[in-house]
Amino acid sequence: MAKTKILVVDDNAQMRNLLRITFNSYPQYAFFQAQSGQEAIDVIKAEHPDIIFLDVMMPGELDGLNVCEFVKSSDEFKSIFVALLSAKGQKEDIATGLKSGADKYITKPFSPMALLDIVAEICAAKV
Amino acid sequence: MTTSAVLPDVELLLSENARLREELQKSKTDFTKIFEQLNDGIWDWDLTDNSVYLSPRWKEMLGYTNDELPNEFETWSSLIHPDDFSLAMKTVEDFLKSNETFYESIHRLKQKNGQWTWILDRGVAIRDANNKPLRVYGAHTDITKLHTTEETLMQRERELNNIVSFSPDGIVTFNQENFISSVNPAFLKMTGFTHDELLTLQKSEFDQKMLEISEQTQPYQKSHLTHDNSQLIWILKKYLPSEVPKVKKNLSKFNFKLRQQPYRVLKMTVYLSKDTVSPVILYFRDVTLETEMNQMKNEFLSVAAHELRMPIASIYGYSELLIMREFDDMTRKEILQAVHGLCNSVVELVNQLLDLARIEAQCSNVFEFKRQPITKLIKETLADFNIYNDFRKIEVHYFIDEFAKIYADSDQFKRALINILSNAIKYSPNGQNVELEIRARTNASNDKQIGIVVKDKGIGISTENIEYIFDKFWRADNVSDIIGSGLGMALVKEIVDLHHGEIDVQSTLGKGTTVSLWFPTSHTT
Repeated sequence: MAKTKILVVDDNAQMRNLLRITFNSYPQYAFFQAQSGQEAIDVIKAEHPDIIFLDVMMPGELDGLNVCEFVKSSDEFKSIFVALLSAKGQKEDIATGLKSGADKYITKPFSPMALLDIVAEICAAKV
Repeated sequence: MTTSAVLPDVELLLSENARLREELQKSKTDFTKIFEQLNDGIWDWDLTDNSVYLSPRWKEMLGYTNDELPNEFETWSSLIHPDDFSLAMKTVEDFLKSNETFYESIHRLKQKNGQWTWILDRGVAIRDANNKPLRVYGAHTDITKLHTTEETLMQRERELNNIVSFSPDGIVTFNQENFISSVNPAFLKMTGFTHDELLTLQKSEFDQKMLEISEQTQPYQKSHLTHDNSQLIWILKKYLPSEVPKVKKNLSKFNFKLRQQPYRVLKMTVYLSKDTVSPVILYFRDVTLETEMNQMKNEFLSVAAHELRMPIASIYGYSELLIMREFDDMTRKEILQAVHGLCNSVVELVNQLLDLARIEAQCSNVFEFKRQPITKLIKETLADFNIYNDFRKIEVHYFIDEFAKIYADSDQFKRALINILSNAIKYSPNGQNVELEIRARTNASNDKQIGIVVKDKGIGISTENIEYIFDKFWRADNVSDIIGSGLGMALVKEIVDLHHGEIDVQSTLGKGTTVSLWFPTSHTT
């Protein structure tokens, strides 16, 4: 069985590191990371991940919402499960996030165990 | 016959003269009666024998009894205020020479108690056939009260005019017919209108003009014209004479400057009064700065909260993993090291936030500015710094006389220096040496300064990024995993500004950065 590809996009190195450790010890997952919107799009095109954990606020030309819109408006990639990770938890922030096409909006701080559950669920649904 | 025609008929002349005298006497009596009743002082000057009559009321007006002042011309002339004397005398002289029958003059006369009475002096002349004045008589009216009131009013008007013209707030008044009756310079400056285009406008035309220059989302609302009602109006800056600041490209996650809106915010308050002169007054206050400051403060708070939440979110996640899952020793150590580092960064962030707040509050009693030797300050700073860092990395070069002094607060100076030194080391991940040079210069405004120049050979900052380095929470896009709060340089800038110093940053991406902080050598105001 092919590994489930997980892409984590965050400009914060500690966040990426936390998620890497979270998924690292599971052989069924392949872990990828990107630290900017542009880098994320490059990885998406090269690796076609199954799940993306996407930080919303990132410096540079493209933020998380831009990346999400890119994924969801592309026929090739729109089946990718996108979960936005954001420190912003206001109603309107969540609404804007979901409007960009994201499948889930998760506020920081989040529980790494809950992320593992989400990933397991998606994998189960695919089988 | 020829002779008799030329020679005056003495008989006739005499009788004419007698008739005139009689007439004059009669008119004088009538005149006196009338004016004494009006509470005026009467005077009568017979130019044929230079005799003068001054009525008791004339003298009483100046605080004298009837026999205290002699009835003569000099009684009047000697009491005239020195400033009014020449004009008053000239008026009389000119009048006598002219063929006028009536004159008027306003001058001050000295009262018995030394104070001055403003007198309206009106006179009538009786002239002979050759216009030679035979007699002049008239009345003095005490206009002191009137004059004082007038003077006060004029002064008040001048005062009001000054207040309105120099007021930083815009003021527009309308008259009863609903036309603009006045606009002050401040209003013209904040709206970009000219005096001429406004002065002939009716209220409705003015409303239209205001609507045209205001932002659609926050327009001028003429319907809100009720007393004491305020509204915020956004005047689009494109209508204003001052230049619109160029909007910068958004390179960073948080760019406070970008939020600066392209309009000026005016708070308009309406004053309606029953006064017939200006029943409608519109009062405009420029609240752009307050609005922007408020906005910045709110954003600063939310960004600060966000920046604090970020490391805490990671700590939360790491600790949950440690509780819920088994890890090998290596991984567990890695997680604990990460948590430890994150805690450090939270502490650093909180400390810097507090430092910034302290400096921005500018409680001058907190600071102790004095002239002190720079070499001592540098040595103390390096000693503090070496507790946390490898001192061998910093090469110090003095290019000044060792007793040179700067005017500074030692704690703030050390804080600034530590910040730029730790930046230099932090952003030189290759382990290259950092150089610290102490130099002296005379700046563009001819002030003597001493500078601390910190040179590193680290990652550098791109040209586009340099202008943002003093923005709070801003971090360059090439910092990758180097931990930092984005507050250090903002803090350094505040400290240098506090000292009336200068900062100079030069950098080449990938080559290194040189930061120079210049401090004054003595107290400047």
